[in-house]
Parts: sequence; structure tokens; C-alpha cells
Amino acid sequence: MIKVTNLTKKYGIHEVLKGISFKVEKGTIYGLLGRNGAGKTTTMNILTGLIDYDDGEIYIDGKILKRNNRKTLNNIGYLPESPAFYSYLTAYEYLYFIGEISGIPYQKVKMQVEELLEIVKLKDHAKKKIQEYSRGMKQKLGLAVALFNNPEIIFLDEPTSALDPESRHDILNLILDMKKNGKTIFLSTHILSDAERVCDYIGILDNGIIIFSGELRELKQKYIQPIYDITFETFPQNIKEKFNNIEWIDDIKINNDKVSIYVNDIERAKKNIINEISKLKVPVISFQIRENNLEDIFIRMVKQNENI
Amino acid sequence: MVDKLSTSEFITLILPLIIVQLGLVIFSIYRLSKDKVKYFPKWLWLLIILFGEILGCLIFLTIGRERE
Amino acid sequence: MKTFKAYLKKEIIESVRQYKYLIILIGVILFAIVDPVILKLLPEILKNKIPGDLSSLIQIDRKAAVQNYIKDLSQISLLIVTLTLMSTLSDEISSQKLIFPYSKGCNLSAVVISKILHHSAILSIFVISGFAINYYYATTLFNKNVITFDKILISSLLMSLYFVFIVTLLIFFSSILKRGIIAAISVLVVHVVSAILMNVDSISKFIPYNLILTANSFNTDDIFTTVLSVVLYCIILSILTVKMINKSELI
Repeated sequence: MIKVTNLTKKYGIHEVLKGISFKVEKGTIYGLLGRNGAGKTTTMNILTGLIDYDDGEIYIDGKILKRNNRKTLNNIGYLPESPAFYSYLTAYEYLYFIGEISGIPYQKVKMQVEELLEIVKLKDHAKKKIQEYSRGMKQKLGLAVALFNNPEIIFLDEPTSALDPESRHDILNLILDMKKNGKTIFLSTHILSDAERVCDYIGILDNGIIIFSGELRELKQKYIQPIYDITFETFPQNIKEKFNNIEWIDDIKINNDKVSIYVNDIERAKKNIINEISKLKVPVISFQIRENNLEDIFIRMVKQNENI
Repeated sequence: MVDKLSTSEFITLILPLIIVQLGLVIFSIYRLSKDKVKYFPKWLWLLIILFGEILGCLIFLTIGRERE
Repeated sequence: MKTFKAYLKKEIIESVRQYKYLIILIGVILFAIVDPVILKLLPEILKNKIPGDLSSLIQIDRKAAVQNYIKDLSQISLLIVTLTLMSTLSDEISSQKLIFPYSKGCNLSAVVISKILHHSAILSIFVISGFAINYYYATTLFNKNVITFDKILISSLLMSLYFVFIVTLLIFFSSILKRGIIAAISVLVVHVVSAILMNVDSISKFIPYNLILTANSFNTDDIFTTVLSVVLYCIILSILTVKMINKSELI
């Protein structure tokens, strides 16, 4: 659905994007992660045709997005980081205004407005002026605008930052609903737990280059060393000596009664760990695999990138 | 028309001015009580509206209010 | 066309809700009433302070009432109009309000044109009504030095054209400068400079300020060149603004 190769963007001599490449499949959610200032918004603005780029190739829905050709992309929806409205209008008036611009017949606009307000749960507030809206309500209205005219691809720039937990929850659910309806969603965020919740694919952008792009599952498998947390009834004194020479175990950390076993080969660990524990002949109270979350991976990868 | 107007005729002529003046001051004070203001504190804007009369009101409405 | 219509409606709602109509209306029409009234009262006010016949010092008649109004229009009213409309385009760009409309197929040229036409139309209506009111007061209060209504009408049209020029210039500056207040100051600088340049005889015909002087003198024999050049300036400025906004990055 979206294919980007070798995308470069310079501001003066400062290179913001140093040749990034990635692909987004139809009907999936792709999350672009990165620290503040990594170039996420720049990427977003280029893909939506708002700003120009210096080099590279961009295909959106099979069509090439040319340089120096800022043309409106009618089949996309875009929610900028802080959506700006004509805040003296009411939500109704604003959506009708957007409808009139996109040139759809009035009856259809009316239907869509009702439907969208229903989806984003703003119907009760639709007759209020936008200047009275909270941050979360503005974000929801922005989402409604982005969804107007039923675009195939939706770009969301930091959709959940600066929101209270409840609005965040609402927005994430709306994003998942959009995916269910077959939309392709490209979002950027620095809140990794949100990305972990909704994204299928992840791209990590750091210092203008993509240091990882692929499936979230794959990323987790590739970059994590799963940790087994085991609680014993009585603490096995000999565990360190016994487990130290097993080659798929990296490290053992002991914290009171809890033992954390860091493994380097998850497949072998899955097969053998129960067996090894039973050899200790100590009753086990709990046994649990703890995966590194995306946040740990992200920090590790960004650190690696800095060292290069 | 003649050079000498009767007082009542004259008042009729300046009546629109008085109405505009009063209306604008009342309206400006109403907005002042509701809106956020810029550059000066509210009490100072109130003085500008009351003593600046029509021009004071216009200045307040043009640059004194926070739009968003 | 669809963008043009949508934005025209939006401009009207904006001008009502942000009291732009109210402010401009009062800013333009106020002096139409105030000037003749003050002129009428002046002899009474100054009677005790200045001995002798005042009429030998100050011209107090119909013509003076209209000329005072033209003077105030080209100073205070112009200032009020400029300050009220200064952010009309720069605000849309700098606060990223155009992103949503743009991503839904809005035509940026139509946005600019709708703004220029809307503000021009409103200002022309207000200025012409201002002159009509001023004329009524001037004829009611004074009977010397009669000026016919058709002369007033021509003056009002010339002043409207000057305001149209100011609005077009303001929107042009607003498209290249990020802050509205700087656009407003630039417009006022152009206004003052063009007033000074009127002293150069060879180019005075091509300077927009000539519209004000002609309106003030009620002698419109030689105005064609000026009107034509100002109309041309407006068209050029509009085209430049359209070019600028299509080139500028919206974020």
C-alpha cells in the first residue's frame, strides 16, 4: 500500500532523513517509532504530500508521489499531531465545511457527518464550538475529519500523546476499529506501549535512518532474550552452579525467593527448561515467561545505533 | 437646511452616535467579562473601554482578546 | 469553485463570530457621523477661547465635512481595518489550519481569492454606506459650499478602490510574512511612503494614494490612469499571493 525507498530530506545542510526505506501492507497498522526529533513528523508530512522531499521514491496505493508536485492526495486521511480547526465553528459546521470542500453531494455529506460523529462519540457535543473542546475531543474530531470521505490510507501523527488515559484508550480502540474496517494505518508515536497494543508492523527511526522495519512479532523474537521468572517454595542453594553450564542460559539473577533466568535460545529453552527445573527437586510456586517489552528493545536498539 | 438647528433636532442627529457608543461599551464589557485578554490586565482594559469610548472599545475588540 | 464557496461561507461566519464586521463597520462609519457633528460644534466650543470670527480661520461647510471624513477614513479607519484583517492568511498558514482542508482536496488559490473578494466587497459596501451617511449629515448640518451627490459617490468609489488595494496588499504580505502584525506594519509603511511619493509629479499618477487626493479634491478629470494602475496592482498582487501560497509549505 505504501512503499518508500531511499527517502531523503534536507533542511539546509542538516539531513533529517538519510535515505529511509520501508513498506506498509494493505490492511495493517504500521507504527513509526522514534524519539522526539527523530524525523517522524517530517516523514509523515512528506508522505501526505504537505512538504517536498529531496531524493528517493514513494509509492502510495500503487501511484508514485512525485517531487515538486504538491497535489492533494484524495484517498488519504491525515491527523496531524496537534490538529488545528476553525475553532469558532461547531463540530457540525466544521465537518460540513470539510464535506463541501471535498465536493461530495450534500445528502452524502449529511450521512457521513452523522456516521462519523457516532463513531468518534462526539454527537452530544457536536453543536458546541470547537474552542470549548478538550484536547481529547479535538483529537477525536480530528480523527473524524481524517476519516471523512472514507480514505483507504490513514496517517496519524502522535495520535495519543498529550491525552489523558481515558481519551488515549478511546483513540486506540478507534484505531483498532479502523483496521477492522480494512483501512491501512500509518502512525507515528513515541509512546511504545501504545504501539505495542495496536501495531502489526514497526519501524524504528533514529537519527534519520530506519534501524528496524518489520513485524512486531518478528522484532520481539529477534531482539529479545526472554526471561523466565521462577518462584520456589524453598530457595535452591545450588541453582547457580547447576544452571551455569547449560549453554542456552545466559545469566541467572536471584532476588529473594525469585530466580530470573535469562535465556539466549528460546526454542531450546522452551523444550528443556521444565526438565532442568525438575532436576532441582525443589517445589515450584510459580513459573512464568517474561518477555522484554518494546520499550526495552527500543532503548537497546537506539543505544546500539549510537555506538555505531 | 439652516445653520441654526434646534436642540431637539440636533439630539436626533447625534442619537445614533449615543446608541452606538452605549451599545459598544456594554458589549465590550460583556466580552471582557467572558473572554481571556492579551497585553493588559482586565482592569486596565476596563478603563480603556470606559474612557477610550468608541476607539477604546474597538482597540479592545481588535487586539485585546485571545482568539483561541 | 467548491472551495471558493466553502471558504466564502467560512469567512462570513468568521467575520460575524469574531466581530470583524462590527469592528470594521464602526471603524468606517463612525467618522461619517462624528466629523460633521464636531465641525458643527466647533464654533460653540471655541467661541470663548478665540476672539473674532472663526470662519475666517477654519472652513466650516459641507465640503469640509466630507473632506474631514475622507481624511479620517485614510488614517484611523485604515488603521482599524488593517489591524482587524492582518492575520487573515498568515494565521491559517502558521497555525496549520489549512492542513485538514488541504488533505481533503481544497484548492489553495480559491482560498486566497475568496478572502480577497470577501474583504473587498465588505469594505466597499461599508465605505460607500459611510459616504452616504456622511452626505446626509453634511447636508443636514451645513448649507454652504454645496457638493452634489454624484461627486460624493465618485469619491466613495475611489476610496473603496483604495481600501480594496490595501486589503489585497495586506493579504499578499500576509502570505509571505509569518506574523500578521508585521504584515499590517508593512501595509502602513507602503501607505505612508506612497503618500510621500505623491510629491514626485512624474509618477504621482501611478501611485494608489492619488485615489485619496482625488477623492478629497472632487476633481476627477484625470483619474483614469490611476484607477487603471491600481486595478492592475490588485490583479498582480492577487496572482503573486496565489503563487506564494501554492509554493509555501503548509506546516
